Amino acid sequence: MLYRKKRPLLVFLLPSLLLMAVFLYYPFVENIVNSLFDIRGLAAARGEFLGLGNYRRFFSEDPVAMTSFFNSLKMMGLTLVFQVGLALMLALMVDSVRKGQQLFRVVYFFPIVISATAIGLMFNLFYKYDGGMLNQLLAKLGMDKVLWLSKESAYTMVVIPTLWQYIGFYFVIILTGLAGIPQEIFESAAIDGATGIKKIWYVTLPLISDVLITCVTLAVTGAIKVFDLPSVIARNGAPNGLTHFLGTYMHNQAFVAQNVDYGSTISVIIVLMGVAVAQLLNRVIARNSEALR
Amino acid sequence: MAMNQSVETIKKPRATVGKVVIYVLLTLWAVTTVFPFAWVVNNSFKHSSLVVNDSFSLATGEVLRYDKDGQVVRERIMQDEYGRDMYDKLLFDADGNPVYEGAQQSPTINRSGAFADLLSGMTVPTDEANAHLQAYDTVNGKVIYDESSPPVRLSPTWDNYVSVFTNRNVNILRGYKNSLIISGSVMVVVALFSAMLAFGITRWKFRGAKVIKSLVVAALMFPAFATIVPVYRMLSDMGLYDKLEGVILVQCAGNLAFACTVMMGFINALPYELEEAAFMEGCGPYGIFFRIILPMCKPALATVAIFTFIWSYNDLFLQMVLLRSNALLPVCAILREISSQYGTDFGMMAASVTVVVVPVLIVYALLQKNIIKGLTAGAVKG
Repeated sequence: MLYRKKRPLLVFLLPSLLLMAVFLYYPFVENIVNSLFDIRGLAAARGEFLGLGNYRRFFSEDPVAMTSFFNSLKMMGLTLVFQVGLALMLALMVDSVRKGQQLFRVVYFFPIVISATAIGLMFNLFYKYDGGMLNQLLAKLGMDKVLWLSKESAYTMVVIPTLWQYIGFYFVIILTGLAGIPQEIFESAAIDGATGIKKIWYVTLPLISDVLITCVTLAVTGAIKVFDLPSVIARNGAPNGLTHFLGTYMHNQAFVAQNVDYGSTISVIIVLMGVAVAQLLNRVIARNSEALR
Repeated sequence: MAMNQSVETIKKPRATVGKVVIYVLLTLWAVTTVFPFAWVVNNSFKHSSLVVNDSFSLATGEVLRYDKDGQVVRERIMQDEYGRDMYDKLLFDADGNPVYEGAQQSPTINRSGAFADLLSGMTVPTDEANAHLQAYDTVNGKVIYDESSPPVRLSPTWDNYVSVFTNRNVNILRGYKNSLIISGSVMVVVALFSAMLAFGITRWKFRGAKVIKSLVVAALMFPAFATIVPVYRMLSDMGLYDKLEGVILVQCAGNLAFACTVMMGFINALPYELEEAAFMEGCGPYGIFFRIILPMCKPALATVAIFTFIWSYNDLFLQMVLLRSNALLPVCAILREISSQYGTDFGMMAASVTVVVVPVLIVYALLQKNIIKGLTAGAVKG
């Protein structure tokens, strides 16, 4: 009776749906179709139908593509260990102390608010060979200068700020989860003799497993979308495309080299990888949580 | 109860040692998040040649130079009766202790043109050759010469900020304006539209509601990479490439999925009674939306608005792809330009990072509770 007329409904739904249809759903489908054709140049029309040719090229003929693929894959693993892992440790520690909780929250979280571009610029100043902060520090300690963005170490150096920036994000999520655990559970666990690591492993972690699952999913799907920091710290995957991630390589192919079809292909691979990893994580977690019960 | 107490008394000494260790570790991590920014802000007040040589010193009223043996000499600046700089020379011996050498007057040369040039942004004295010969005293517009070494003033200098704000290629102030226009519009549009959609979906019973809901959830999984090429081509056809409006439209669409998810959850949980009462009073659906739903949604709207604004403000990818004109670049894209064009000018780089970070920091300090909630609450629900 209250909400029966259809016209207002249309007025409420249309603006959002129209925007998303034009700038999200339609391009998403078009992008998949584009990846199957030959398109040379950003303004060029679709050419020959290539089928899965672009995908074959990605997986068997393009060494840089493989580098970016494995870099992104490695990034996912690293986010699991270092972002969620460190965030969990920090959250457990902060939760165990009473004073200063709020301060730690504020301080740990704040790199997230800063744009990754600014952070990239900042780390550029740290990594510079001549006069960079790290080399100045080494000089103070009487050691030789180091080429931080060398072939061997560039990947690590790009990954460090990326991991560092978002630890506070997962920290806050986990800390909120920890605060939601009723105190009585810990009291009864203490009476049963669970303390220290045991308490954390058998009582705390199972109780925040939902929160951890959220963090893991967010971290891993976020790792595929890494773009800003690598593109500021190591341009065009410098040196020699070794620091390309799927995102930066996609941008490079589609908008710099103007291999539009190939760029679309890479973006489809990004989506597929995201869906596949999310599915895989769900399965693993479901199996593990069944085993726990 | 008694048992519980005894457990606590036994563990008390260990617990305090553990607490100290925990506080030390926590503080260490806090240092890693604070120190980099402090370093940058401090160095933004120094000349590039000083940042390169001595980035850890505080930007205080000292002069640093190397003597002929390559030894670091620090001098405190004093002024004589005519207002000229006078150095109280301090030499450091092998153990790093200051050795007093007595006051001596330094040769100073007035060059009023230097600062004027700087202000106009025409010549920025950052090239290596200049830096070795002379150091600029920006406050008095003087050049200090010394044959033994390149002396550099440690007193805070605004030079870097002058070059950031007066640079013609990369204008950060204009970048701020563009960022505010883009992110502000995106924020308002997304907050309003998502509330409207959520209201429609949760209050009307109609076929297709489920489809729309799953479409919205699916859109959460679309990364910008997956839509950007067709979007770019479409905007070019529509004449919206390299226009602020183009970026705004695309960012709105990109944020709607998340915003709708949050708003649907919130509006669904609102009680119907008020709306029914309003209906009895003769209020239509539009009136109900604007007079009842929107005011009640304030907390959720704040979450959505903060998330959308920060996401849009920090999103480099779309800014880079959809805008080309220098005059239209928002802050992040400008920063990237600065790092490619002035990458060797450490002072200017530090100043531009500071200029971008400090306003955000102030807003964060004022709204930290809301911001942390805005950025994490949505993520947890979605």
